[in-house]
Parts: sequence; structure tokens; C-alpha cells
Amino acid sequence: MNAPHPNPRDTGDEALKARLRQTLSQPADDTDALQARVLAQWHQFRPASVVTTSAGPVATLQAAWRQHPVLWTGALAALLVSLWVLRPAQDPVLEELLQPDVLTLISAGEL
Amino acid sequence: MSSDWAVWHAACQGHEASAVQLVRRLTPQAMGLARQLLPRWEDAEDAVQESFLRLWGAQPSDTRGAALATYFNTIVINRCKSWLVRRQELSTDPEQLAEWIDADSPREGSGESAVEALDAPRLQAAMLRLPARQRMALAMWAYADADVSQIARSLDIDANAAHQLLHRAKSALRRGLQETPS
Repeated sequence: MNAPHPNPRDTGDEALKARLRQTLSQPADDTDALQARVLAQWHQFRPASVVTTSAGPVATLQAAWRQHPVLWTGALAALLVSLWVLRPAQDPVLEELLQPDVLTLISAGEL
Repeated sequence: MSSDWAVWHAACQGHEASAVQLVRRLTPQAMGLARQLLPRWEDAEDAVQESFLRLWGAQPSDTRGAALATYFNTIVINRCKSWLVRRQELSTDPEQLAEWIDADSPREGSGESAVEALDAPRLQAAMLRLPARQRMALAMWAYADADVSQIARSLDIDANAAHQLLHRAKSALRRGLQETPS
């Protein structure tokens, strides 16, 4: 049994299409200036979310906080608790001096 | 997702190296295509620039599973088509359309040897000698994988007219290539 012969016109068309595509992939004339313009346009229109300012410590902290908010909140809470626990004990003399004496209370009208 | 589409995605997310890679790869091909459809170099450049804007703003659902290069060819062809419509070179007037379709009566079997030795400047010259509708039909068929029904829809003509238009365009191109000096 013979295999069906392809239609010569179809074969010719496919050859034409292949040659057209091949021609398109040949190096074109100088397109450097156009490429530069296209890239400048891309810079202008790229998503704002990725145009982060990485200059300065505040921007760095903000970026770090955005990336790991839970971690940074936990670290901040731990720091505050540590500061509270390790706070210096009050001086008893200073505490006594800060107590209002009887004369002050009388003059303030509280006694 | 193919690696091309992954690069496109990265570029759309703001990754500069990916954008540079895509622009370097797609621009020469897009310019070659636009030059086949639009006579003036500056207009072809504008069409390519507009096409990249469309590419950056494309939605994945627009692509319909096409390869990135084919999808981009479709955008370029559409930009060129808009330009031709603005310049009223793509009239949908039925009488003018019939005139264009019948403009070249095909002579079968000619032009294959000319197609064998094809280079970009010869092809551009031969394409630009065809009527705008024939150029559009050929470009959609060759570079955007469009079939007759898609060409018909895009050019706002019926399928039979699109079939004739494409057939005559192929014949006219083959003949034009024979007449165009290397």
C-alpha cells in the first residue's frame, strides 16, 4: 500500500513559510538605538513595587521589615522585654528624696 | 511555562537583565517583520516600540499557549495593521478589496528557485510591492501561525475571500522575488 503523497502546493507553501521565518531570524540592520529606547521605556513603566529605594539605613530597615515582618516584630518585642528585665534598680536615697514631705503636702492642701 | 515566558515574567517583575535579554533577542526579528509591512523605517521603529509596551502589559491569558516569539509577532503585526488602517491603506471597501484580491492572477509553479535564495532585503522589497492586505495576510500566515479563518476575522472579510487573498499573496510574493534582483 502506498503512502499518500503530499499535495505539491502544500509542500511548496510550507517551504515558503519556512524560508520566510528563516529570513526573519537573520541579523537585521542596526537596531541598537531602538533597543536603547525600548529599554528606557521599560525603565519608565516597570512595576513600582520593584523600584525600591535601597539607599540609606531607613530604606534598608523598611525593606527588611517588609520581607520578614513576623521575625522583626518578635525581635523587637524580645528587645523590649530584655530592657525591662535588665533595667537598673532604683537608688533608695533618690526614692526617698522624691517622696513629698509633710510640709509640701500641707501646702498643697492635701493634709 | 517555557523559559522564554519565564524571562518575560521576570522582566515584567522589574528584573533588568531579563528585560535586556528579551529586548536584544526580539527587536531585530520584530524590526524585520515591521519593515516587511510598513514602508518607512521610522514607522516600523514606532510599531516595534509600541509592541514592546503591549508585551510588558500583556496578561498570561492573552497568549493562548503560543510561543513568546510567535505571540510577539502577533503584536507587531497588529501594531502595523493599526498603522495601515490609520493611513487608510487597509480599506474594507468591498470593491477595493475585490480589486486587490484579483490584482495578481497567480501563475502556479513559479518562483520556488527565487525563494530558495532569500535574504531579508530582497524579501522586504518584494513584500512592500504587494498591496497592504496581501502583506498582512502573508505575515499573519507565516509569522503568527494564523489560519484562514483567523486572517478573515482580523481583516474583516469572509473566509473564502481570505483564502483567495492568501493564495494570491503567496503567488505574488514568489513572482515578486523572481523579479527582485539579489
